[in-house]
Amino acid sequence: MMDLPFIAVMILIMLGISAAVLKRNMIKIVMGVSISASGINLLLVALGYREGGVAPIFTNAPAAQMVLPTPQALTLTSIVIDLAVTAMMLSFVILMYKHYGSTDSRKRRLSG
Amino acid sequence: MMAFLLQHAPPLVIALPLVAAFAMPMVSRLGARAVKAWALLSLLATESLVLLLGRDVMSGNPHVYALGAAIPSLTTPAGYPIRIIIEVDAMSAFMAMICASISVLVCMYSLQYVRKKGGQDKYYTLLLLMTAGMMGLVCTGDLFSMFVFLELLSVSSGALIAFYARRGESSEAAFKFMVVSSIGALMVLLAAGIFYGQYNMLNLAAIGGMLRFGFLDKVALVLLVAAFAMKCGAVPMHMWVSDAYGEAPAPVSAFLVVASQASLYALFRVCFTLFGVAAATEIMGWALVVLGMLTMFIGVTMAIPQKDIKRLMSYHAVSQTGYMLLGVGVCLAVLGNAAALGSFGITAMQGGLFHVVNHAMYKGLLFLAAGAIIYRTGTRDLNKLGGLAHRMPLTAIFFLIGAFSISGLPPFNGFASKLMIYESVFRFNPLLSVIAMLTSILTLASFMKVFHSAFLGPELPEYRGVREMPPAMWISMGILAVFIMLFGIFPDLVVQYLVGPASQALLDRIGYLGGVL
Amino acid sequence: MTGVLMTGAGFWSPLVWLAAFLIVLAIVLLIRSTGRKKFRHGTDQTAAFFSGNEAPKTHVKAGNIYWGFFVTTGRYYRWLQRMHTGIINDYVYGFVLIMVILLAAVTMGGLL
Repeated sequence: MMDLPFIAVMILIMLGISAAVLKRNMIKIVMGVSISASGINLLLVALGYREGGVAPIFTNAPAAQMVLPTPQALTLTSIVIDLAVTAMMLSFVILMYKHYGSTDSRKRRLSG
Repeated sequence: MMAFLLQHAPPLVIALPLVAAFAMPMVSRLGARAVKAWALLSLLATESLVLLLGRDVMSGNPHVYALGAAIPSLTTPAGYPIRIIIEVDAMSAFMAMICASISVLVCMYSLQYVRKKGGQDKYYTLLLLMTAGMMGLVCTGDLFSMFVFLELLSVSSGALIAFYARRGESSEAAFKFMVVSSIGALMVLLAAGIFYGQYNMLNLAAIGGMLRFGFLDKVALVLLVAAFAMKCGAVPMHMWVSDAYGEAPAPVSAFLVVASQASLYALFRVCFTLFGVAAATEIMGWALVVLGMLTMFIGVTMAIPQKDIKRLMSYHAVSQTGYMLLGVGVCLAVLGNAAALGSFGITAMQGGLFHVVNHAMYKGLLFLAAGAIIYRTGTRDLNKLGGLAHRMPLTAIFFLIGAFSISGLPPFNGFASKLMIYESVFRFNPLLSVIAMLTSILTLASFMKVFHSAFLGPELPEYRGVREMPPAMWISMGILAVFIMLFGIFPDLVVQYLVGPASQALLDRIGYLGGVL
Repeated sequence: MTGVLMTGAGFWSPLVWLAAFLIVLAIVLLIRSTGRKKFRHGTDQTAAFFSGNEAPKTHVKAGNIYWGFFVTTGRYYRWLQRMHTGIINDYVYGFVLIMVILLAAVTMGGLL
């Protein structure tokens, strides 16, 4: 079952993007993007894992293989970026609800 | 002093607008004039640094900078690259010069265009953040930094698109822009994760050196190309462009054009430098050519029936991106065939890259002219405008220069780059050249429609009190018009000193890899 | 020689074009100067000739320009307008479509 994290990653990313394609409620579209982002963060963390590894801290480290630290840094950056993007998208949904009166993506005014 | 600046220029170019953006809330306590002066001065300082760096890099001297190392050029202390490495070769310097110059002109135009009280410091902060994101995207040498700066660029652009929050449509356009951009950036991150999992490296040069082109690498290539093509506005992922550029304030639209071209740069960097000849470029080249053809044709045919002046121009931005994809796609398709590359491939790429700088200039001029019309008349609907040339002759002349340039009429710069693309693409496949020329004719038709509707005709009674633009606006448009004419009259100097080194740097994969490894 | 852009199959010299343009402009102005100089403004001498009818004073609005072109290409434009729905779900769907097509092309292109 070494591949279980990667299968979960694939499922999460596909669920997220299919939510963005199929769901009509704009908040659900934002949730879909957020789920996709979580899936990719899981991929990054899972790539760094080494079987039986310890946390990558040098002070008083036990004599075992360390888990790779670089993907953890990448994941932290990615989490912060996704937070900013989700907050922004939700604020746009709030503004749209105030002006249009609904969160349906079909009730758009810009087309053609 | 100059040597110190030149040695540390690569990170300074990214850090200067970033620090200026973070210092803006403190500067805003001193008043509105301090905010504008601070933004303009920091963008001018960035521009001078970029020109200093660019002049050195274009004469054949790529700069490599490892952030945090004991000396900046220590990129491989243990035999493999570590730390974030900024690599500025001639192609990066070319794009950075375009971004910095247009940012200065956009800031100058915004000084008198943005009249909204209470949002001014946020506007200039976001403009500085957009510049920092663009500089980071074009100068960086590793894939994860590309993701970070791409997201920075997307977030600040999204906020600027929704700047006029009193209209519901701008929030809708910004929402669509953010969803599309974040999904694209997530695919870039997925590709970076795939590369990290396989090679344990994130650096473009390091991955390029170790690339094996198995199945996972093909998936990563497709993810990167699709994501960056979506960010440029290639058909069928182009529909956000018309919404976003149409709803943003006019100077922001001009700057968003350059942001899309920075994504185009990232696409070329991935296709040529990361993958290169080893990786079946013929299929990807043909894919870019087909995308370019569809983009050109659908962009221009959607532009003709539009009645909103900014939406019309944004469809033209989509169409001109097709020209760049066509030119560089042809070069990518013949990358493996040395005879064809020498005879028409390099000219096609030079045409495409020349078109990048031309497009930034004349599209910027057109969007700024549309902004001048909107500023003075208050309306964007072409059905309501008419006879403005009586009252705004300078705007009419600038608009006409931009319109002739985008349609490819001599002696403006559009003609020079389009001629290079037509002649080289013809020898690849004649049909592509025919469709490109047809697109050019339809572009001219569409801009004659706009010129007639907005400027020609009898003077309408509701626009009798309209005056000419304020000085900040016509100075920035005048600088663009002068450069358009200069680039049109001396295209060989531009190709020799700017576009030539850039295309050579893009084709020289070994040089890029050798800079870091 | 400066001012000559070499494309692969020919050359383009904007300075020669400008010189030719100025020469032709000079000839045009020369011919124009041999015309009648005395005429009365505002009378029928300067009005446009509309076969004896009244000259129209309206300005053709942007929605009505090129109507013949739109009538001829009506089928194409109806298809195009239907494609540009403005709904966010279709934007993401286009992206997924392109990704699938490109993936098929790149993985199976080697077999062709």
